[in-house]
Amino acid sequence: MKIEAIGVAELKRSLKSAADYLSLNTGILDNLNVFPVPDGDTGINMLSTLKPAVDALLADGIIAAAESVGSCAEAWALLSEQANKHSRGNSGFILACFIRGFSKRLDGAGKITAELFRGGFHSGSYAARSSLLSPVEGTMVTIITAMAEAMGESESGDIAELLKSALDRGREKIFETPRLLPVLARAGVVDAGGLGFIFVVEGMRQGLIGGELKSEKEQDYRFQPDPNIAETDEGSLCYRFCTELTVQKKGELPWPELKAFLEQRGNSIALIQEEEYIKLHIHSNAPEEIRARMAKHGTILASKVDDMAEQINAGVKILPDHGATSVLAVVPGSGFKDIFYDLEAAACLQYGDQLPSSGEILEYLEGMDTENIIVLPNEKNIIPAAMLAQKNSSKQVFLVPTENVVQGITALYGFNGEDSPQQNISSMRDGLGVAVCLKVYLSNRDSRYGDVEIKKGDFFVLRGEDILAVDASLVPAVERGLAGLEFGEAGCISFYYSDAFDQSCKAELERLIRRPENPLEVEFHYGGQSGSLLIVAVE
Amino acid sequence: MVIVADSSLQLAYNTIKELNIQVVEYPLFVNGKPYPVSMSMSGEEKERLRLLIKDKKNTVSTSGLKEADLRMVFQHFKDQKILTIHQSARMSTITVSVLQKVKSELSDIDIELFDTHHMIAAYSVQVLLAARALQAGMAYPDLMEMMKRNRSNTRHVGSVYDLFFLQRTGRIGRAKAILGTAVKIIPLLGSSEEAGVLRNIGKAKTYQQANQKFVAAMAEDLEARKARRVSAVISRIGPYQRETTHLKELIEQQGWDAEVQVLATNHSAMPHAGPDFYDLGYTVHED
Repeated sequence: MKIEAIGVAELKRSLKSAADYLSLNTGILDNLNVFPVPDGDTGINMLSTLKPAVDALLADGIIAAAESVGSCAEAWALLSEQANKHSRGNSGFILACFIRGFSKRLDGAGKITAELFRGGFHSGSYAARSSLLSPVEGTMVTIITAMAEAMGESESGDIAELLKSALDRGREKIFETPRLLPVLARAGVVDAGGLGFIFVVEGMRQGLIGGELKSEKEQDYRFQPDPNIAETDEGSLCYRFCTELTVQKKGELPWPELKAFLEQRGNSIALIQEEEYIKLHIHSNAPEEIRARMAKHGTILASKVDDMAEQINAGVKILPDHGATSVLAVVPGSGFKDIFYDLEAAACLQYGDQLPSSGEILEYLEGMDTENIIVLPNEKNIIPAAMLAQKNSSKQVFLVPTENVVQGITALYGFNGEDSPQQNISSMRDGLGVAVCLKVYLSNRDSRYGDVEIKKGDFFVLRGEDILAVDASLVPAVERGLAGLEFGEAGCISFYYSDAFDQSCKAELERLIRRPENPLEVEFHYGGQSGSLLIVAVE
Repeated sequence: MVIVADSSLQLAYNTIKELNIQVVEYPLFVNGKPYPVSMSMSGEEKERLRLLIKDKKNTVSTSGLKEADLRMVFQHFKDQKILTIHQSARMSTITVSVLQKVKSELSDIDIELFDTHHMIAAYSVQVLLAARALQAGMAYPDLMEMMKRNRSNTRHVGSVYDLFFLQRTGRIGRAKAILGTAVKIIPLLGSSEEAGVLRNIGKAKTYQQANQKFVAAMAEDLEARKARRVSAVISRIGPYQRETTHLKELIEQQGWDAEVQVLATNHSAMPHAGPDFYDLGYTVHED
């Protein structure tokens, strides 16, 4: 049966099915997760973002009824608000952005037609991609874009058909992700975030057509790892300024000519055309030239130019100084909570197995009694959620983008509550590079990390995304992990241990460090983190 | 002309003699009883005093300069102009009032009071430069001009391993004392825009990190003044020879025209800075 439009009830049923499909296959996504860090949480992050949002939409528990929201536009708006609130990790953040973009396109619509669905998908795709400063191809955004393009190419007026064409393209494209992202090829997997998005859309379609939800097979998304594939230079920032302009139109745009002009001057281009105004988003090195050109097509109502290099380096909004400042630290264990409080953090958000959502971070921010707050995410994958919380907070929130808890500690060396946010951010940034952070894990399954084989029970040492050592015993693994480091001016090695750490190893680790030729001091502190057995700070 | 200073001066006894600096002693008390101190105390004597201070059961304190001592010194040099140079007035308001009282009472003696706005090493480097200039024959107006310039070009930074003592005597302004933290951290203090007030300038895990911060501050000051020449005094209380030598070497490696003296701290600073401490006072020369 052709589905030309859907109302609130069908939309709810479709979204519930999407969350159920994702839930059914979460484990596969977690197991396939190797990029950017093989921390096995892609599925759970996506589910933690989508499920509470769908649950909120279904709050009345009557799927067929539409009491709580009167239109599809309202339903998507609610879904978007909740997804933003609950988004976790990179994949959850991108999914929330997609939903937000889709929602914007609905603009009061009571029902969603095939055309609106197509437009919503495009808008979602734009929102997801343009939310990233430097999108990496071979990841979730590649799949979303490909699926949106397939919908754009289809002339069908049937929503189920549109979804099928998008799914066909997505399932084809997902097997290209290892070619686009070498780390996937070396691990012999497809991109987990991209596959998760396919599961969401598959669930939506099955919900609409009344199909059966099925458990996917993990082996369908695995293949022979290729250790010979070389790495590419990913994530470079070739365009510095994120430029956004809202222009009240004078008339029709000379689109092909304007498109060519924009393409020559940047990327991540998105142009939203409304009846009376246009909104342009572009990453470019010539924001003034673009502004002058757009001024020819109408009156500039609003403009924004952000220096992305500055944002990447500082992670801060450019705002005037406002006096005293306090710090919110996101910490991976109760031991770190004590340490961060000692270092003058005003509040600590402790998390366990699951990364905190932007909503949780926002809740902490709003509950603090100071107006200027610096957030230390202390984990690379929490940075997007922290950015979202920063954006949604009613306070002056600044972000020092600490990628691990050691950077969080050294950033706090530069903190002084009596100084202004700007002074603090400057001195805290100085602290980011003073220590090296290693993480020691105990593998709980046979796996592969790039071209390194890790057996169940092995200890392995990571520095960022690089694996430094693997050994069947802890101390030799740490020894080999430390052996590759340049100690230079280092004076101390601190071990932050988890509950799973065998404390009888302390003496042996201490002997390893405190050799006569090595004047380094050694400290052990309880971190209480889940995941890694030890976090090692060399400073 | 003669220079008079007080015993918070952190210069070697020989240097003080060579430069003919007259030092007036701050009396020191242990558990309320006078404790014998002098600028010529040996290393062992200083260490004994340090250990007394380190034992927090003891109350070790100084009082303001004695009126009688000042009177005696000023009268001894009554035929000369006396330039009496002291640490920031905020450090001892009693001393300031005593100095002013004695000066007004001895109105027939030409006494000039000079507040360096700093303390410990940063006070000492200013006294050192003034005494050298005087010895080189600099005339009084030029000397005063130089001292005022030096005062505004002087900065004070230090690693205070235990803030208990500075906090107890109210010498760290509003800086939060890091007492008994789970992780061993070295609090770093520095001079603020307010004369004589120390402020928290950060923390460090290792002395290397602390010294890097100090040298970065020096580099900033030199650059701001487009200068290359700097005079520095490093003083230490406690077993921090390795740390202070590292700081001296780090400064010398920067390729500036730097003169650095490392000294074991004299007694008067100990009750206030505590038994575990080293500081750096430096003056940037705008040549």
